[in-house]
Amino acid sequence: MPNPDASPAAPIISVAGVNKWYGAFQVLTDVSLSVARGEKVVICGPSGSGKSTLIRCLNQLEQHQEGSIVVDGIELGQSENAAQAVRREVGMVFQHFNLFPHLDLVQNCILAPMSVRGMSRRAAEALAVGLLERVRLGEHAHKYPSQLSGGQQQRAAIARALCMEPRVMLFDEPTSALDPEMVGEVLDTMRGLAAEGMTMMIVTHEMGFARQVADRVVFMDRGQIVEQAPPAAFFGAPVHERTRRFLSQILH
Amino acid sequence: MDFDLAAFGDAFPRLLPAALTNLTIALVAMTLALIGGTVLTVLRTTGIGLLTGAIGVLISFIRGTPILVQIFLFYYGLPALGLDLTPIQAGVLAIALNSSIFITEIMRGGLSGMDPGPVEAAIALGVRARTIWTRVILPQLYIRILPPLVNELTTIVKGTALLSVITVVEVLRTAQQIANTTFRPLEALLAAAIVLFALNLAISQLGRRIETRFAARRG
Repeated sequence: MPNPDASPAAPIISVAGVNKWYGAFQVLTDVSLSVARGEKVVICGPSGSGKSTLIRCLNQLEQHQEGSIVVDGIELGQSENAAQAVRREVGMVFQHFNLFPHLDLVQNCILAPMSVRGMSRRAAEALAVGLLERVRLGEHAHKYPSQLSGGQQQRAAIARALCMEPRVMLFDEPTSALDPEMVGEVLDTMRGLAAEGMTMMIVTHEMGFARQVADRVVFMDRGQIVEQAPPAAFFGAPVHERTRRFLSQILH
Repeated sequence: MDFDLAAFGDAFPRLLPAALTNLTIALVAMTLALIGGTVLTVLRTTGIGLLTGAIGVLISFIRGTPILVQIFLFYYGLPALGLDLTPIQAGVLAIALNSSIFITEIMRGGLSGMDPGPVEAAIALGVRARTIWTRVILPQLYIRILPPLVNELTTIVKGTALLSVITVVEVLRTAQQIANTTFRPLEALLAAAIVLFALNLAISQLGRRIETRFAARRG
């Protein structure tokens, strides 16, 4: 759905002064962040730092209590319709893949394009097969998720999200649940997507990937954005003590 | 020992056609119960207090009363409210209501053990709640609960014999009629038991085959 309010120069995601609590526990504290079209932002930080919560607020899988989140010109938190409008344009890839276990890969891919976009079965299937081939799963198009490896399932999940032709892709620790030998194939798929100019927000601990692909690395700790910088500066000269400690732990 | 093998064998030609009545009643009741159980299950997730409360009362009432009493209520009780049902109609409805209560309990158990991930993915894709139910939750749920559903169908088949007391001419009533003319109740009743047992054996075998077929889709 093209949005008349969204000029190409405006950030596609803009988060301002967001606070969120789980009961008495504050998970996000005064978080502000904006992402330009085509930008790749990697979010890192210790577990429990609020990074997953932040990207889950961007498509309203979680609701924020204070502050504003605007995605593709749509202000979130006002209505369910706004959330639905944003979800149509924002793809998400989960740590545990979350494929539909009862459907084969093509059926996984066409469910949303048909029911949400009103696409015909024929057009949706053509799109799905094309995208499954692109993530090198063409020969598995009619297998069920349980018949595939973790890496294959995650690539299928990426294809499923791409079938909605999203403007933004959110990745919530996409390789954390994978066996080490399957991490590479998923990261390669993500690199390909990045090279095509997709706007991406990626929560990950893969610092090598962040260094190569990210335009900006954001470090979060205890619900706050502590530091953000281009990868060279972020890894070469981290400003904050907490960032340095985190990097030394994760890079050994 | 006084067992008349000929009388035993002679019972089958009359019992087998009667078994078709049991099977038909069971299948219709099962279909209605699946629909009823599904509707109750979806309604229970709405979180509307009054509705879930009413369903809770219905569930404990049906579970806490004999199914024979429920069958009598439908057959002898409903005419008092101006609803005159044939024995088969009353029987089907009574069994379907009873079974939908057990099916909604099976479905609740199945739901509570289900991975919320696929639903979350569907929400993130912008899929509407109704479509999430029909395309994501329910198909997964039916596949998961296939074994207890098959079991429920065999319970229903056994329950169809109760309809003999409201004059439905099914296997048990046919056996009684045979016994009344041959004066050999043991042979007729044993034959009836074997016919119903064979029916349920076939159902559970078929169920196992369907389970195997859906194994890959269980996730």
